[in-house]
Amino acid sequence: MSRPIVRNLVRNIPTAAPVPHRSVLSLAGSQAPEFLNGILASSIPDGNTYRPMFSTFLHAQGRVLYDVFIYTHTTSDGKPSYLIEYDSRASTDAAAPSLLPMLKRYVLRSKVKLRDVSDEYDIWAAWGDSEAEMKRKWSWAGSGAVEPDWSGEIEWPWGMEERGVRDRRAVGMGRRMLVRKGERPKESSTHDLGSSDAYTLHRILHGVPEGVHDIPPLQAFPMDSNLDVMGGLDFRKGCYVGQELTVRTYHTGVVRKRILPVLIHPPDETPAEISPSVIKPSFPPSIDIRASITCSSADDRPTPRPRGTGKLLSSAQGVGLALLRLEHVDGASRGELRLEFEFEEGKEAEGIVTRKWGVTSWWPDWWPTRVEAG
Amino acid sequence: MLRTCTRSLRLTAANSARLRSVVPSNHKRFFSSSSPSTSALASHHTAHPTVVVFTPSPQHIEQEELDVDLIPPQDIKIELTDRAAEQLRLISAKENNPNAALRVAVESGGCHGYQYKMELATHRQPDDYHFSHPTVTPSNILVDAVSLSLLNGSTIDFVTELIGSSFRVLENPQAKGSGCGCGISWELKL
Repeated sequence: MSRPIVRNLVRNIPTAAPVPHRSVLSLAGSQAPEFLNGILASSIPDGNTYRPMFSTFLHAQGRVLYDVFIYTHTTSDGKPSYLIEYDSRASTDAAAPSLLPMLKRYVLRSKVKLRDVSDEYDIWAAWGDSEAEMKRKWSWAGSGAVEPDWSGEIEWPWGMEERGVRDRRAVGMGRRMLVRKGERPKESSTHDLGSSDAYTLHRILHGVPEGVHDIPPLQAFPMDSNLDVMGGLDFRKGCYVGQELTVRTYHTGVVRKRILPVLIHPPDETPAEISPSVIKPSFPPSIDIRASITCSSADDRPTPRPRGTGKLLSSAQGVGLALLRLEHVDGASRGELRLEFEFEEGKEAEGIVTRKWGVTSWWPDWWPTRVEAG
Repeated sequence: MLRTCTRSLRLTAANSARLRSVVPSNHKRFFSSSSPSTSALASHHTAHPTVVVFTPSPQHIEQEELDVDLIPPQDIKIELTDRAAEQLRLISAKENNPNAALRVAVESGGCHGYQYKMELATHRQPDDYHFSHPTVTPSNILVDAVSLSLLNGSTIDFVTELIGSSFRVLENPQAKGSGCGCGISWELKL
């Protein structure tokens, strides 16, 4: 359910905005589809057909390396190729390999060519233009993992354009496209042009994690990072890097954490009372969120904290995405728990103040309701 | 062969004291149904460093524009177990071709990033390394230059298990951990 304050931030008019911090790689060559199929967590369609999609590169032990968009592109000599778009910022984990060197290590004798084309393209997103989606179908697993069910769709779910992809990570995300650097997309004549902050807010409000701040390479797990819900994993695919842990969790494990959109507010206020003019600092990613029990006991015995911490990931204008334990989310929705974090503000000279902030999560409108596996 | 038989007998004797009265004392019992020389015992089977029969020339590598650094000859080390060499010899005899070889290659993919691909080959390519067991011949192994850089230092074995018999690449110093369950896919140690 969308809180009234949050709805003020949602832009429903057609908008196009640039997506910040992204790099693009070109993957070409006669064996490009097979090469990609061996490492990517999604399946390349039959006959090695070139199609755009959203997918993930996992590490051998099953943790996420990069969430990527794959676009198709016909080169100047008429050959099909892939363009891979990913977060260009370095991750905090020094052991996490950068994407281009990592892919190059897998080339061996495959007839493929990989190169960085980040200075040729910009990434833009467009939304709000009422590309209405049919009621989305979902497929649940016993572990709590859920994936979109594309079986009712006539066309390839991610679209058929070159250098463009339908952003089906959430309902209402719109479209994403590669534009020659410095140029504007064709949507600029029909849509409002927003800043890259507008895109970030749009994605946070839809509950879509993206990039190294939300999905830290070598630390994040795919289901915890909603990659199953966003259609970035194929659980029926045979061998790809990181498949063992992913499929085992899907069938026999339990998903205990999810990334949800959250409202950030002063700790003792509840969201309905917040006035939008409260100026909030911008928070860096990866702040620990702790739960505390709301009902105080009759005596002054300190109540133990529930175990486990969440993490505040990307945030902007008082909303953000947070990785939260599902038991905390349930506890908070029943009013038994409060989720809070502390943040040091101010400069050395003026004095650093540690302030507490409260966090209230909500399930995005489009989030599937759980149907018990029959 | 004799050593293995004794070990099996010792185990049997220790555990089947109760059965001694039932089973005749000269009755040899083994735990595996396949012969001990080919079954996959826990211990390391005898292996020998292979003889390098052929290496690709640097000129050929450059001509083909292959992106690989040739390993200096003294650093090349592939071992072959006696039972794998014996299996290769049997294959050559069956195919009636002394040049029949096991081609071992590394490809990308699989659940850990790299996977071994093994197939029967007959022709040596100019960018292949050609190995042979020192005494059991013909026992040809072909490894292309790119794959050797990822395989160097490994032992090639032939094992028989309940699930079947197959050639295996073992103890690859470039592989991290034990790889995937089936022994085919592995992760590179950086």
